[in-house]
Amino acid sequence: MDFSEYKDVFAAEAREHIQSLNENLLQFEQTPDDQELVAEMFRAAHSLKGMAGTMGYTQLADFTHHMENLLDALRNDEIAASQELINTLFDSVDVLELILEEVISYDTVQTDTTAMKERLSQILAGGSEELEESEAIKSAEGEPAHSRPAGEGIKLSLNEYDRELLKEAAVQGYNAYWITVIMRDNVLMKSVRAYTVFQALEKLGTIVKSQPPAQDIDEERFDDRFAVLLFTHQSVSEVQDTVLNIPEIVQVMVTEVEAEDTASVPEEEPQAAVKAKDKPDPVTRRAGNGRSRIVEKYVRVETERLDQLNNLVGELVISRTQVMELAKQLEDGHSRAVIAQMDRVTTELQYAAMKLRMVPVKHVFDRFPRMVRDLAKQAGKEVQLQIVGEETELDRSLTNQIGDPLVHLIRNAVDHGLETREERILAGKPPEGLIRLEARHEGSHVVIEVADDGRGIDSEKVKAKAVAIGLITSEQAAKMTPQEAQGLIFEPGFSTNEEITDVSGRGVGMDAVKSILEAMNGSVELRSTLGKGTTVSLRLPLTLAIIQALLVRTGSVILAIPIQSVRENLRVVPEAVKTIHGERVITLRNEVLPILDLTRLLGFGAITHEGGMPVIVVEAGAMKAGLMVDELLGQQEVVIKRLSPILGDVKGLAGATVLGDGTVALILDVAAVLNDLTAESK
Amino acid sequence: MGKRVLVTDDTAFMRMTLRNVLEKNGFEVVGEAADGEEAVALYAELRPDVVTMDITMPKMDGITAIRKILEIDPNARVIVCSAMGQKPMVIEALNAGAKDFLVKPFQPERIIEALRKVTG
Repeated sequence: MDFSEYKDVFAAEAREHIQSLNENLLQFEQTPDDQELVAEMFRAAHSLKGMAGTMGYTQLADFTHHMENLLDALRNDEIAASQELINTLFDSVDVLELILEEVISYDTVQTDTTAMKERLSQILAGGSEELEESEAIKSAEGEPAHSRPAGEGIKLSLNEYDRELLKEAAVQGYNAYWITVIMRDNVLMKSVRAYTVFQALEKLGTIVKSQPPAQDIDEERFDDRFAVLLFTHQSVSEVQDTVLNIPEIVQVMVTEVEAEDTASVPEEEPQAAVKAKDKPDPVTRRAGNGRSRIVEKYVRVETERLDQLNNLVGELVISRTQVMELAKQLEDGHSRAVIAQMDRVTTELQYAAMKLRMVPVKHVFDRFPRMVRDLAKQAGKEVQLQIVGEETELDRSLTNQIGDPLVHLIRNAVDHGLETREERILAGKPPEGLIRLEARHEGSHVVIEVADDGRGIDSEKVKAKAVAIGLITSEQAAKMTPQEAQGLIFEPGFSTNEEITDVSGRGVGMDAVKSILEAMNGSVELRSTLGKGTTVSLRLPLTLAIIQALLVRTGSVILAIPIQSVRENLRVVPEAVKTIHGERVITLRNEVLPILDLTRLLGFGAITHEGGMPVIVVEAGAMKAGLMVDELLGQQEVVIKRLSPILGDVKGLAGATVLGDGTVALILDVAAVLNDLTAESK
Repeated sequence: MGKRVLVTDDTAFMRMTLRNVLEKNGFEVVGEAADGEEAVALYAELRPDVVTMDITMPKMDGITAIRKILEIDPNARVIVCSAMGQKPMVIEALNAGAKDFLVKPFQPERIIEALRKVTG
């Protein structure tokens, strides 16, 4: 098999193991009693050996095998930690690193590792002498030392069921043998080799259990040895001969298991001595930094592949809609039921694919405690940051984009929103300012709020400044509600003024925040009470890929209006439309609402209306307007397709989508359209 | 007198390699087959002590050939040869009655061990 495609993964993982060996070794030098560190190092060496073997890097595998032997002995207290041993291990890790890089670059090892392997073996051999001493000490303590000769058998552990079987076997006159089979090193296809052993033994009797379990053996999750419990009428030597006659088997150890004995077989897991079991649990196989990392629970996938999957699901959703259209014409109940089922499954698939893209906002929030601490220090304020709902999930691409706006908002809250300690005390507030960062789901949206309990925004000051810089006239200012006035700080040209931000308590880059949010199909909302604090809510769609839209026809064009922008649908008679300052408006519940002729705005040709015309009231940010259309077609889920860059930046359109019947609909960028309106009216 | 071996492989290079290793170690290569059909025919004719059998071959694959040979002689000793990654086929060959297996790239001492043990 060609493993070259796995080489990158191998290289990355092998380097991680070496890094972990180095770190643990450094620690071990400080705390030589720490058995956990030794176990970690052993696992790293062991994993490296297995990996190298699989890749066919036999010299690398052989070298790590030497390291593993020494670490194994250390782990089992057969040798004691000494400075010499630690130095040798350090040196061996260096050599390991060297030869690893060699195989990564050239596929072969060029460095002669004989001397290093000798040193490792010598330390190991030297350890045996020490072992005798320590054994003496341990014996004196009345505890037999446990040594591990090369040919050690695997310990047998029996459960209740096994014991029952053993009793039954004894009654029927079977011999029960616990057989440890040891293969030579670097056996190719060792699971098949094990299989031949099983095959041979099955001819002699019945295999009751194995250690490791058959599944692990089949997947080669064992070292050089495994054990089986065999019920047979054959003698020990016959069994031994049979197994030894199998190629690549170097040793067989057979112990008779007596039914009566079984009661005395210790219940507890045999201590780490079971070599085959030493292979760490697959779930925590990769060890590093003293912590076990979960690997098999997660699969790393290139984001590109996820995007591709989502794209395909998007296509499927469109086809589904097409099929649903066709199904409407079907008489056959069965076909309709089948299609309905497909519809449900597709919806679930769409949801599942969307879930794949979701990540907790924690990824974004994590950097804020440190940031708030630093900002507070700089500003000389006392600030407490409260984070709520960091587990809320959001489309991955959105989390990438939401970071910057949040930084703006939090920075503003600390710099301008919150008062100094003295001001707060004077205002009768707790001296420590509070910033609350909260994420939560709201329908098909995620809302992220940055709230402070600071001084709030003085809408009068905002208005005054807006007039001063020519953003609005004083007449306009007089008519503005406090809410509208606060909305002014989202205006380009307003918030960049440092002076204003200091008095108003809000500022830098609010227009930037708004445009980023709108680009994400989201919205920003600001609520502020003078003296009480300010809350900025960012409303985001769960995903960028699929939106609910209201379909309308205007002229010959079908437009999709994102449903979150739609407030209501009206039918307006032509007489109700008045013209104020050259602008067409209607009065809706005492509110003057500008009416936009979409066809004119987007240049699709004139609308002709007889009787009442449909008007859709849309809202984006603080702006509201009625869109005049020819016909309402209904609500539908649409998959956003970006407009080709060849078209350039098409004003007023967020993209396009393909409808059930194959028609292309254009997705309206409500915010852009309303912005245009404001720009026009100025 | 060395054991008599029939070597089966569709590549001349592999047959040559096996012949060299075997003859150096006292085996006698009595025939070479380039596919399963030839192997079956040559087995019937030569009655060798042991057959090495490649799996992937034209005309008749090794596993079918093993079954045919065992029909001719239920005591036939066949060692299946495979490349890495052909585990399921090796298992199938063993279940079909192959006595042992060898994995390419071959290591001479393994070949010899397998043949000695199987013919022993």
